Amino acid sequence: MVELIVPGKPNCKSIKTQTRCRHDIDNRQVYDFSPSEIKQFPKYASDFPGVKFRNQPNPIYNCYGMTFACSRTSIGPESVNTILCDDGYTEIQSLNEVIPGDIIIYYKDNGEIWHSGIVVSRPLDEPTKLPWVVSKWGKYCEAYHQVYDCPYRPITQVRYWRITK
Amino acid sequence: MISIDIEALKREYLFASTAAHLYEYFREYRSLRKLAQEEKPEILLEEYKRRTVKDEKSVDDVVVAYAILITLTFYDYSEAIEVFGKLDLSKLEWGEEIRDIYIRKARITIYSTQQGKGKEIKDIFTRTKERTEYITSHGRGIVSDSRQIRSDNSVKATDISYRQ
Repeated sequence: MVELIVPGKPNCKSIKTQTRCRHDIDNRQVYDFSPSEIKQFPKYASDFPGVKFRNQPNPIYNCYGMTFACSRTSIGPESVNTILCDDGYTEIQSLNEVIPGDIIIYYKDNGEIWHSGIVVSRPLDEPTKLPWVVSKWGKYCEAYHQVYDCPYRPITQVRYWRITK
Repeated sequence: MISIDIEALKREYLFASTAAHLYEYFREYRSLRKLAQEEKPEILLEEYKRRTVKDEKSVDDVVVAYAILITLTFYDYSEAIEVFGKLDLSKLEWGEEIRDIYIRKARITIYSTQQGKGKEIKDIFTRTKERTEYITSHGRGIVSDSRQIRSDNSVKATDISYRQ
């Protein structure tokens, strides 16, 4: 079956998604995408020369969907705290303890959750010793980037989480 | 036909993961605030319809349509809500969410007048869905303690105007 996808036209589905405690998580698989949008992405991605994009543009999942729902769907930031609580995440207090596999959540100055990703490396030989993460950039690709090298601003705080319970 | 420089807005749209991203980033653009000052809501309404009526919308169409929604948020609250009510927000993935964010964040300024007690304007306070802050109260200057909300209607609002 050929599905005609046009930009801006809502074309969404949802799937059954739950936390460990069986709380339903609102989600949306977005098919709101078009070849014309795909053509636009590289132009703007070139503003981030230090970033490696690791797959093809895909509107179905967003950063929270990548981080918490196996890249199957898009989740809103309002569900993140429920997931953290239900799934047994504990915040990692010291940057020195952050290791690959940990979750990173970006916050605005008002405490609003703004972006998320997964820590994949933490090169100790780099001067900053800052983690590198993979995160999903909107409808575009998954990006491999240094923690602060992304278009999501203003970021005033990043916090790291790991399932410990 | 309205004029919007959409190059920067396109980037914000393409990288936005949520309606909240789009709302915040678009509102940072002075060009949209300026557009709100220069154009009447009816013009924006027509442009929105023109951009969203097509079955095959271009990226430019979608970005301009979102830009119009955000421009509306710079109008007076009552005016913006009236125009939002005339738009088919379902034409855009985040149309309804943008409207809901606006309503949640809108700061309504209320001038409360009590007649017959000497002074006309006794209280001015701003209210969002989540918080009420007094600007002046009984001529005592700025008061910003949200605990001073009066739920018993002791402040009678007889003269209300709205602004963003």
